[in-house]
Amino acid sequence: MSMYIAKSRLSYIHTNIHRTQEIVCSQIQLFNMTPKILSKDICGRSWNTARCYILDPFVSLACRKTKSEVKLLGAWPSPFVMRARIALNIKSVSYEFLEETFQPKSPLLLDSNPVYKKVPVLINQDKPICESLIIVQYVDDVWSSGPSILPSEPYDRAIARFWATYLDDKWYPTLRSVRGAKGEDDRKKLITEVGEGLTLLEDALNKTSRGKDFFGGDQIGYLDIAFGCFLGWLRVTESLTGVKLLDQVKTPCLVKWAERFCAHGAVKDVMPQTEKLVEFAKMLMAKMAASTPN
Amino acid sequence: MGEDNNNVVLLDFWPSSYGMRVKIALQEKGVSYECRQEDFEAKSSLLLEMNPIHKMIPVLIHNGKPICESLNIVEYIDEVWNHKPSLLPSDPYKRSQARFWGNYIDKNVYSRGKKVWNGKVEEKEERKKQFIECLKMLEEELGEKPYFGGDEFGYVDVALVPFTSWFYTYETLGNLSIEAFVPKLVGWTKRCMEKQSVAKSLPHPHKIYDFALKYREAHGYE
Repeated sequence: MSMYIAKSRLSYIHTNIHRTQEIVCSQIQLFNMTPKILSKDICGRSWNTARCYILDPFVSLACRKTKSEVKLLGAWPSPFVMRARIALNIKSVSYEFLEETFQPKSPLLLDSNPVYKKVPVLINQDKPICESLIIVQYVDDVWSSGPSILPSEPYDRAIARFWATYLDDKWYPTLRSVRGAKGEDDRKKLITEVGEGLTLLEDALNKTSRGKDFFGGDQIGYLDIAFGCFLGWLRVTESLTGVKLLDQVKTPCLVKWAERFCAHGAVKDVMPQTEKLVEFAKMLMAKMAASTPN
Repeated sequence: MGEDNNNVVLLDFWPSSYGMRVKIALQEKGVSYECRQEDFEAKSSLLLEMNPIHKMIPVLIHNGKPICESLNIVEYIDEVWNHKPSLLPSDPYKRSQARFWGNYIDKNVYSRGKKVWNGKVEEKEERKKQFIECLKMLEEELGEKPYFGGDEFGYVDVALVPFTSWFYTYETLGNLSIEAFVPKLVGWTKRCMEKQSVAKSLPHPHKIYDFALKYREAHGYE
């Protein structure tokens, strides 16, 4: 039974309240059910309760907390899932978070993301949206009355998208491969590349923030979300390698930005603790070592 | 946008499907632009200045400001020249789906296609299979619609149609018939080629084939 159907029935009743008694009677005939009291909350006015009661399965479904209308399928360690959560928080959207089981992947995941079978998946009114940056843009488009996530000017939007793609296609894969580096030389080379990327991002921050606190200006925006979600794993890599990557000397603005980002109301409750992530990373590395033949 | 302040330059490389996307989008919107061809053996100082991170085409330079990454450029064009025809749908869910498939095409079509005409001989059958799988996925998404965008040509069509100029190359060098596997997609290709914006932006498939042969020779492939 779809929430979408439930909501449209509800709005039908709202707009046709004077005819509702007729609807009620026809529903009783249609569903052949024992009637039940219709809540005052639904129609915003009280029924003539001595007379008519209905059980409308569609309407009673709509009565349930609308939190379940928006679901996010995710996993707590995933930076990509974090992006979706931050976007929803910025817009003050209530949603139900479903922690994906993996091993095996849940039927919901396989059904809602058949192409990649990955989290995050946002499900809004039974419709799935996949890929974290696409989810963030979708959230910005749908809940357009909340604070904007993408910049308003087309050129600024293009710049934000460019850097987000750079992060996903180049910078984060390099950061990830530091943990799996074979040999000290390889690790050093990768760490240098991560550092070079951070220098580029320091420059990008100076240009796009225009002296304000975030890439998005006064408020966190698309690029803050796209980059900030990786801060947890950046710290994990620093912890495991003993190398400071986000450097006060080389990237002072990014260091300050990172503190502000992590303290932000939309972020702090969904940013995993570094210690927990380190434990998780060690567990993953142990698993990989165990499954790799010598 | 004032007409007197609308200088548009495209840094391009003619066989690039990514460059073709931008040309189609500009044509759809009726935007005049100057197209400059890049030589990959000797990249221009303008390219290195405008895209220092990746040093790749296409780059759109609008009133002196660079925009990089082809689908990013297509969205930019759609937003700046926001008269009809629109390339992205207005409905947020449909927009998200269009972006999803644009992203899927970016991740899969070029890399799998290249392996078909340029890969090691012994892995050829596996690579052909992967390429066809990707095309079948796209054909399924197309369904019975005239275009990926529905009744109107749009973002996903722009994202995919340039690669069809490479189909003759994939078929000849890869020894396969794309139409045999994805006839609806080939039908869609013909429909798109009837549009002026597409016909003007895609090189003749035989020209692409000649380029591919020269490329293989220059890089020592069989």
